[in-house]
Amino acid sequence: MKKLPLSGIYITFILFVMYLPILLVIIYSFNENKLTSVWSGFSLRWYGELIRDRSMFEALRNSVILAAISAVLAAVIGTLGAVGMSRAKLRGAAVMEYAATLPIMVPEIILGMVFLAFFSLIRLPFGMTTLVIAHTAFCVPYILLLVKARLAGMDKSYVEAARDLGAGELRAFFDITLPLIVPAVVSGMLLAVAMSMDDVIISVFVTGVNTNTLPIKIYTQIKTGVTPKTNALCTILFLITVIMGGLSSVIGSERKSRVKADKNKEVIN
Amino acid sequence: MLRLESITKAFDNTKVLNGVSLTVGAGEFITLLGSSGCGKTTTLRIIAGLEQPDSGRVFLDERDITDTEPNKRDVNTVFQNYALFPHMNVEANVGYSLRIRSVHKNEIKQRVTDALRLVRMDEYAKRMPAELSGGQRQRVAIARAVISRPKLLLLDEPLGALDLQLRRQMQLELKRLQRELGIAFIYITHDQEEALNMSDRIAVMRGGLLEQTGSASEIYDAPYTSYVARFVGSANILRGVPAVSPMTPNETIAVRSENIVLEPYSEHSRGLEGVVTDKRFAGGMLRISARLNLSGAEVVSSRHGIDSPLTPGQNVYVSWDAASEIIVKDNDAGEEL
Amino acid sequence: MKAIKRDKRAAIAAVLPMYIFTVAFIAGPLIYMLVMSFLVRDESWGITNELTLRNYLHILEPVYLETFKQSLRLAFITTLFTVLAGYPAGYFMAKLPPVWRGRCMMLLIIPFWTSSLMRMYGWIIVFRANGSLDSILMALGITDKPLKLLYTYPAVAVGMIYALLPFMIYSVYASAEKMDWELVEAARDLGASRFRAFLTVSLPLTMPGLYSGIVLTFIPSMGLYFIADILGGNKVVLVGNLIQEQLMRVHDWPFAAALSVILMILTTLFLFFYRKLSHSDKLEGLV
Repeated sequence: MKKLPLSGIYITFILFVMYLPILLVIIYSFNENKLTSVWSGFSLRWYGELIRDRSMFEALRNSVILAAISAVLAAVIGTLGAVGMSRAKLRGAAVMEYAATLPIMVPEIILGMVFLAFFSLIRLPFGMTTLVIAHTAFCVPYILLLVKARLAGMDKSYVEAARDLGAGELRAFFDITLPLIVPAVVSGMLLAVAMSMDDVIISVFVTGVNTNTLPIKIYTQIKTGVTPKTNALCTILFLITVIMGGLSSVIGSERKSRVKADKNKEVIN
Repeated sequence: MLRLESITKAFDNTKVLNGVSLTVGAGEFITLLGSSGCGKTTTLRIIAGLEQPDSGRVFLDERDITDTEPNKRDVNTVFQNYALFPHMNVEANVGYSLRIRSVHKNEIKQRVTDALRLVRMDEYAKRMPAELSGGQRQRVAIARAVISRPKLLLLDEPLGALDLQLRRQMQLELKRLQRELGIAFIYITHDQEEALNMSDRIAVMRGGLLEQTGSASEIYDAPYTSYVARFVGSANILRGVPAVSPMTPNETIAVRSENIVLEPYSEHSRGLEGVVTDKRFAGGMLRISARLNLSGAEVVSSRHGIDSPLTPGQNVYVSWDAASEIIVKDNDAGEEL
Repeated sequence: MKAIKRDKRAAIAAVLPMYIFTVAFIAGPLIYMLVMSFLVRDESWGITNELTLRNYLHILEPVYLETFKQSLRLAFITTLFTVLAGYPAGYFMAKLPPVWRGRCMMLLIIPFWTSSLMRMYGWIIVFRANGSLDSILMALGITDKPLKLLYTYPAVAVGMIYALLPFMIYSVYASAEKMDWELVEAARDLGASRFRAFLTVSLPLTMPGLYSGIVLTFIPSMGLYFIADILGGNKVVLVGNLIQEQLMRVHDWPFAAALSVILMILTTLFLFFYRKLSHSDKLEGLV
């Protein structure tokens, strides 16, 4: 605490800047005035209007469905992939892994362009299906990398001990490996959901005329003219994010405290 | 009961085992003793089925189990780091092998309790591994490995991570357990004292080969090679010194430090001339080192109790009883242990 | 030997979905993009099966070269400022007591997870004429009329820096947190000044974090066209905006593909140099 002042002030400043735009959006969501630039008193009016707006609900529903399906698909593909690659040296695995993680390495606009062109080529109608494929593509890397890291950090002797005690290969996987990588899968999925719920760039390219997601809707509103309803929508989205972030950190810290307990015991001995 | 026939194994072109053959009898406590990298852990893993030998066979009760999967072998292992499943409590860890064999719930409960009582851990059944100390984890790992009554228990340096006091206590307990259970133990260690204390038989390993196999007293009193003599009980290897017994050129003599006599020059004393180089306490007794003028070799004597008038720099006669001279094959040219 | 074969078969079965998905929906589309960049655009819509280099030659026209230049310049500026602002932040956070470290990270995660549109929208409120910034500046008497900051290059730069700063802070934090602080103490003990100890110990040891922070800010800043779109109006045109325009308005897909290929080559080169420099293929703090 002695040396806190200067670095402490700096960190506080950075965090303040980080929250500044978010706070402004939230504050103006309670603005009575229809003009978003003039403050004329506190009101919940825009939340009421938001609830009555059917298209908003549809967009929210689409976003949730899209995020859920993509995260689950990515979890299955990514987890199996990471496990498989850790089990045996397969030819071309490095190339495949590189290709699979490309979606988070290249600028999103390229991914959007590529999907747009490719889906037109194979004549896949634009809509939920194309959205799911595109979102799954950029969700897989998160889960793949997290699970891979978890597997690499996992002591091989746990599985060996299970095998030694009589478990077949499959049994050892379900009894030992799977429970131990679940935290990585879950936090990867939460990250994937967050990314999916936030994506505009790729979604704009691969969505159909009638399929709006929340980010697309917000984007359109910002481009064409905001109303305080946009602020209200953003605020609700923000709340969802905070709740999800809290969830994931609880899962993460539970894991960490376990490790910490481990370390403490070592020290005691 | 267990028989290894000329097992070889290489990892990435590095030969780890160069033809290991070993027989273990039922109920025997045998120790694989060797420094790190000698291949002892690999041997153990091949017996457990966690590693496949490049050539050679493994027999358990005269049945060839070389290609049998680890879960189909009547052999269990206590891993070096215990490998307790971190997401299961003590009870679940210990009962794991019984659950796999679909043993009835009540019986599992009973046998887990028995196994935990055997290692004096019955009060900790509901704890998670992370909440246990090193010694406690060790006991749980043993209980988990013996609960299904394997024919053979493999222990990979199980006491390596414990402090000296706890290690001594666990040595006694392991020995007691082994007698109570009547299971054969194959025990791995690099600690010669541990090996001498516990084993019915010791197999000294070096460079992927068994250098000598025999009872503790055989290994200690009659080592075949200079390496074994030095590794077990750190004997003095006296090269280029005239011996009483006849010797071939590639043989040399080894004398245990407790048999080396250092005496100040006097009319009565005899022996090889030397100079005291060091004098220190180790393991509750004085260890005095001297350099032989004849060959320049260092010899260590530990028969001086706790008090000696000798001081470094003093000229001494170095001598030993002819009966304590051991003729060994000279095969380690002073390599680091 | 049997066991090894069985193991392999199980592994192949496990990676199969990933392989199929990757080939079908990532490798396939990317290859298609490459092919398309050499094709001729159809008169009205779509493409013809005629091979050409015209799309690439097209890029060499001054207008488009200027766009690339502007994109690269903005990426450099963004990266430079995120390093300047983010490195100290990540470094200081790693030095905090563990409890505060966790709290700071949590506080940093929340905006990072918040919709980037919402955050950009927040900046509109800040920058627009008679917006928050103008009000404050005028109230303080620093300026006497609105600055009209919205839809300017600085506004876009601020948006970019703001959006990418968390990546930098994380990366630096991740490697600084792993660092053994006793090494710094050892350097101090051996006579190094605080600054010298930082320069000779902390900085080299946190270099991997800095490198991955740079990668994580530089690459996206070439592609985050919507920030330029929202905060720059049509005043700031980046490669991303150009691609989007070619796709959605001009419908010249082959040209958009060629632009994407060049952008992709630029990012790959950048990643390649990153690997050379850092001797690592992992991005610290990425996930």
